[in-house]
Amino acid sequence: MHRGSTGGRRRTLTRLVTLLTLAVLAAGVLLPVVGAESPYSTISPQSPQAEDIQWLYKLIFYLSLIVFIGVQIAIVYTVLRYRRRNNDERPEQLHGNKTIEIIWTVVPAIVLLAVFIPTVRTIYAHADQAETGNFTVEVYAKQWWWEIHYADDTGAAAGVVTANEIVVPQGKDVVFELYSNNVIHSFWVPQLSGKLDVMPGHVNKLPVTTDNLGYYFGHCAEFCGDAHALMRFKVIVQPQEVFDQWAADWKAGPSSASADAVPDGDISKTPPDFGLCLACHQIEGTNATIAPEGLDEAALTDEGAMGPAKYAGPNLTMIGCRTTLAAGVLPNTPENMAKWLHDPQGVKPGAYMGEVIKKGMLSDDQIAALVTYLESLKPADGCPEIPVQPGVTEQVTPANP
Amino acid sequence: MAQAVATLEHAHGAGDVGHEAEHADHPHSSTGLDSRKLLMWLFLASDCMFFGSLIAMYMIYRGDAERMFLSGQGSGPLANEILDIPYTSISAFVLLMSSLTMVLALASIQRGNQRGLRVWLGATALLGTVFLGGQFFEFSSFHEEGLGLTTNIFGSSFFTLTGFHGAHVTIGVFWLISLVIVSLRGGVRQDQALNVEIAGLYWHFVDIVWIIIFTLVYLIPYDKVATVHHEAEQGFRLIGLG
Amino acid sequence: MASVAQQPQSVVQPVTKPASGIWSWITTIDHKRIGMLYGFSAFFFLMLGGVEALFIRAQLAVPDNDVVSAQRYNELFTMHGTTMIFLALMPMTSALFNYVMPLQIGARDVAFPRLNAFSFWVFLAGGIIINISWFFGEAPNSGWYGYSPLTGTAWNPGRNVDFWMLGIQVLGVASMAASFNFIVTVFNLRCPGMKLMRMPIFSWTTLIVSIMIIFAFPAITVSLLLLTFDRYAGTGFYEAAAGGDPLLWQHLFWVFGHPEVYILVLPAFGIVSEIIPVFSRKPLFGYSVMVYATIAIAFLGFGVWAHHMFTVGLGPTANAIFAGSTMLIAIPTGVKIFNWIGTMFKGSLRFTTPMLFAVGLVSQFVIGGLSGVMHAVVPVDTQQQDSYFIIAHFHYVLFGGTVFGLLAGIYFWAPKIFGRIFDERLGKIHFWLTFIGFNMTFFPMHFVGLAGMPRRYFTYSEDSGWGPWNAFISFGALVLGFSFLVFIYNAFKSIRHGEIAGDDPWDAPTLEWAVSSPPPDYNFAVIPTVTHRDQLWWDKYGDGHGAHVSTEALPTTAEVQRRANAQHPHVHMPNPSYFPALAALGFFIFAIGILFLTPTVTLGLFHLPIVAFAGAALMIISIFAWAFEPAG
Ligand code: HEA
Ligand code: HEA
Ligand code: CUA
Ligand SMILES: [Cu+2]
Repeated sequence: MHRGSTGGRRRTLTRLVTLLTLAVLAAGVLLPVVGAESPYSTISPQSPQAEDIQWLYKLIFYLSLIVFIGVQIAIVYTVLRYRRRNNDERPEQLHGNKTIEIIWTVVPAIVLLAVFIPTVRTIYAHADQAETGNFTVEVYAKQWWWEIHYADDTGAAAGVVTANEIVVPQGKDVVFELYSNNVIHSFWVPQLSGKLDVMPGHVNKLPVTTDNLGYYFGHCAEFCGDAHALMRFKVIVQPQEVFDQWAADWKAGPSSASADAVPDGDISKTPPDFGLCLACHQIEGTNATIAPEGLDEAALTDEGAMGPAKYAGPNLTMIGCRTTLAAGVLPNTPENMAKWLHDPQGVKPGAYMGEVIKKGMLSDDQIAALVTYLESLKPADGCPEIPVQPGVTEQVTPANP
Repeated sequence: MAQAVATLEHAHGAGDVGHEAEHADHPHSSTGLDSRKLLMWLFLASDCMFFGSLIAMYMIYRGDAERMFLSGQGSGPLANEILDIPYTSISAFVLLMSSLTMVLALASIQRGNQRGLRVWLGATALLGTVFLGGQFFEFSSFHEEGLGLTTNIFGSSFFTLTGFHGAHVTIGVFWLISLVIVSLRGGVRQDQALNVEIAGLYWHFVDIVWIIIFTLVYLIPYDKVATVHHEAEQGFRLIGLG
Repeated sequence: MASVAQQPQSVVQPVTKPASGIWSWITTIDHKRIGMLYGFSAFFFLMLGGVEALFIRAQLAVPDNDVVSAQRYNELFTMHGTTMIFLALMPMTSALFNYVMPLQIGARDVAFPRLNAFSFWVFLAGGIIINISWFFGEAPNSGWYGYSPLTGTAWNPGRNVDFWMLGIQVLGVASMAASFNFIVTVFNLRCPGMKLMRMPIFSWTTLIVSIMIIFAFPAITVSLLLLTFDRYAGTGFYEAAAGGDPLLWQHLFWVFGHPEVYILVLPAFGIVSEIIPVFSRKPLFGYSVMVYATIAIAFLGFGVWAHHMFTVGLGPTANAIFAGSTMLIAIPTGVKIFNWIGTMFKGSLRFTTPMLFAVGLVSQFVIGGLSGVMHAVVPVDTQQQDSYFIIAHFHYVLFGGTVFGLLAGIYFWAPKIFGRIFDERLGKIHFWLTFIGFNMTFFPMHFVGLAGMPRRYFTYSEDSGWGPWNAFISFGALVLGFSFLVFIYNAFKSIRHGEIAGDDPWDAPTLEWAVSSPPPDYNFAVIPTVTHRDQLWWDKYGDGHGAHVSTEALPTTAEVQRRANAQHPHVHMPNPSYFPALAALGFFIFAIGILFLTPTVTLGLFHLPIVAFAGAALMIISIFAWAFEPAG
């Protein structure tokens, strides 16, 4: 087809093609870097597992980019080159071409094989790591917050129960065991690993090796009802000794810091205003011990009725040291604590605590009393300090997800 | 829903073929297969997926009630305590025989024998009804022994699977009866044997499905892990089920 | 336009004036009119789903926004997805199947015209059932794939899920009934000489998609029936506590759900395979390979469902297997892309609006396809699943694929349907607005996805860093929305005052262009006889080597139709019937009765919902009536 292939058209053609190529390349470079800024970024890995995924992502991404550029250039070229010039021309009527069709069947097949092999490798590698951990954290996903239990292999922390902030020591092969007695949730800390769903009736295990100190943002990734968007949490990687101290503090229960907040300074008792809260919240080292925790069988079997496990709330031991309230929704300040106690569902749509504590049900004095007490639940010598990720300059503070 | 389509199917019967016949110059069929017969084959193919899904469901939960029972959870009678194989074998045999009478019905009309058609269609419908009666008594006796749709996962999956098969049979019976009525009004001429043949296709299908259900639900023992069940389970395990 | 001038105009008007008036539409059993009914309803639902999308974008435009409540937001995305997939795209493909396929294979109607009408009315019933939920303030709220146990009464006591459950069930009946019909039609009503391997690709995709539907839908039927028992009878099929398993829902749903997405895109592929050859003046490159590729995609499509479940913990073996099967699908799909380019290569391309949308599909679908392959890499998918990266993926394939293809098809066949060509200038404006708005809306979703933004979030915080791109995306959605207004304007204008099309405005090779526009209600005065693939081109140009002259002895296919029409043939077509619509109404009442289950009458130990029974009765009676009414 020599038709109309004059130098002029050739030039516009090459110009347009190069232009497009540049644009696509720009997009190609953009794609992997844009979005690396977020604390939830899936492409700034901070653990070996996340690194593996990143490596695979780069592989498939750049292969796809090549395919993409190839196809788009082919399209643009054909479209510009073979525009109809006059109305009664009829091009040669070719119906196909065996060799070329075989080529463009086989080549993609090879490309895909090149991706498939490392994919399978990584799948099995991570599956093995899930079985060979040395530090087991049980995660119970609730609507809409996370309850954390430390298993026996966690040394000092064995038996500790906390919520929404998962403290783990550095340099461990952590395995998160995921449980649900309600709906499906999904456990996702993008910088540490891919997500894994929390399936009722199944136990899923997610391996994360904690190489880097720091705190990492996580959130629920499977639609789980009204407050699905407000089900955030954090993983905080601490040096071993800090971790052990933290665990010890938790087991010690309320410290002298709480003395003024409770009647006649008996820190083993919760203040009278806390009475209503006992049904749902436990506090280590106090009389607040009746609330259900973990998988609540009673709630499992009773048909649809609002079973305890649906109501039950987080263990409040050392809540004074939590960075946020209501699963990463509010920074943990006295004002916010008051705001929450005043109207839970105003802060978090559907929150079950709101079924009991209706808006404005607690008087301002009661709220004040509770806030002083709760904020006082921390070690006498203050909370462990939260390390910053190495190499990360300005980072979203742990309090604001 | 499958049933809805099935009814429709039949409904077509008298209707659209007439219309096709109207176009003299219309190619009646490019494949040589009658359109309505083809339609029925397609419906049955799709109905295989319907029962396939139900049976898969049953096999996934098969034995789970027992397992829960052993682990102290769950309640209610279990399969091996309640299933009465001899009793069901009889009703299965009845249904099997009905396929035979169905064949005879078709044969009669193809020979233009109206009386034969009615007799055998009637017989088929009767046998079908006997089967349904059998199922009804089975269900109600299970109820007395305390197994309901919601008692345990066995009850749920059992009544659902066999229930939907029963629904298929019921539709079949109504279909056969309406054919008898039509033929009484002289509506099924020899050259319309196809109407009977299509009903027959449906009836035989429902019959075959029962053979499969009967084997999987009743014959394969529950107490000791039977091989078929076991293999099926390996498959389901692979995708996280069973 | 030039090509119109070239084409000899058809002089005859359809002999029987098409009857008009509401009643004639309710009772029609003409595949062309049913196609139009499908088309207009589908477009209405597309707008509805679009408006829902605009609400979604309004809410997400800025961090911590409160345009809608959390509950309302959940209803919005659920209804958006459900509406777009089941009420907009599927019926829009049905519309074209109905209108075009019988013409393409040289038939006068589908095999079962009344079943066809029934299918449409049942579809409409389903659409209404799902959408009336808005008026009860209980719109479905569990996402378009409604994962258990969130759909169980324990966690979702309202009627929201019931509307969804029953609506989809009803729609399933409609789709399957229609598909049986299409399959039989393609197999049995092809005109003499129309061998399968001579069929236009669009008719091929009609056949294959219909086959996929009749095998895919039973799975969701069963999963929905089990859900119905869980919700109404208190069984525990999906309740772990009762010995059930939420995974069962996911498997049953995706066994249907994945084939469903190819059910949505293959028709668009078919449309493009018709349009590109026409405007390249070249036969489709590798016709038979295209057919086999389509079959391969349909077949593989049933073996990849668990790629939607890579994060539920199926275990490494299952994940590896499904990763492999999923990647395989890239191969036949790639073959299609390359064959389309091959068709244009060395062609004589003319960029009418349909061609623009067709080429748009070829280039944009690839983006969605490639992100799809990224999802197939399981570990990578664990970072992308349920994030906006997925949202980006499937809008590229669904909008950049299916919607582009459908718009191409509408511009391409409008002249045949309305007898007038859609305005080309407005059409081009529409295309570029869509193309730009589409990429503005959906490309940045890759970025927020990589930035870790999960889907189905009604809000996000400032510090997440997702704000700026979301604002941009929402703006893009406005542009995209506006492009649809341009289209609506163009359609209204052109249907009334557009340029008269004539029989064959595009110089196309398939049979629908051999008859007048719009075609007579019997389509063909005499059933055509086909001797070649691309028959009309062969008539005019031979096989490229020297035109084949049409003589008195050997008139062209189109000429044959004109002459026959000129002699006012008396083709007898089946009478209109209102029984299909009546049966569908009965079905509708039945579903509503189930939905509310009151009032009831008590018979012995059974409590019977009388409304439901009345509906069922009406349906059965009308079906019998229709069965025994003379087809005349
Ligand atoms: C029209 C609908 C459509 C189509 C055609 C596709 C096509 C594909 N889809 Fe997609 N998909 C959806 C609609 C569709 N999808 C929807 C709606 C969802 C989300 C559901 C939900 O969660 O709500 C989804 C989700 C989805 C997932 C689950 C993601 C998750 O939730 O975790 C996956 C995972 O594998 C996937 C993969 C693919 C693949 C591999 C293809 C392939 O078919 C693509 C093949 C095409 C190409 C690859 C491009 C052309 C090929 C070449 C140019 C050849 C050279 C290419 C290579 C060598 C790579 N899709
Ligand atoms: C099938 C096709 C399809 C199509 C065409 C679209 C079209 C669009 N979708 Fe999509 N979308 C889905 C299918 C589709 N979607 C599915 C399946 C989901 C998943 C749902 C789930 O998670 O369950 C989803 C989810 C989804 C989300 C994620 C919600 C979430 O997870 O929180 C978003 C967010 O931006 C979105 C946006 C859009 C936008 C902006 C468009 C735009 O293309 C819309 C363009 C705008 C219009 C078409 C409006 C035009 C009308 C007017 C301008 C007014 C004129 C009106 C009249 C004349 C009456 N969609
Ligand atoms: Cu928990 Cu989403
Ligand atoms: Cu899929």
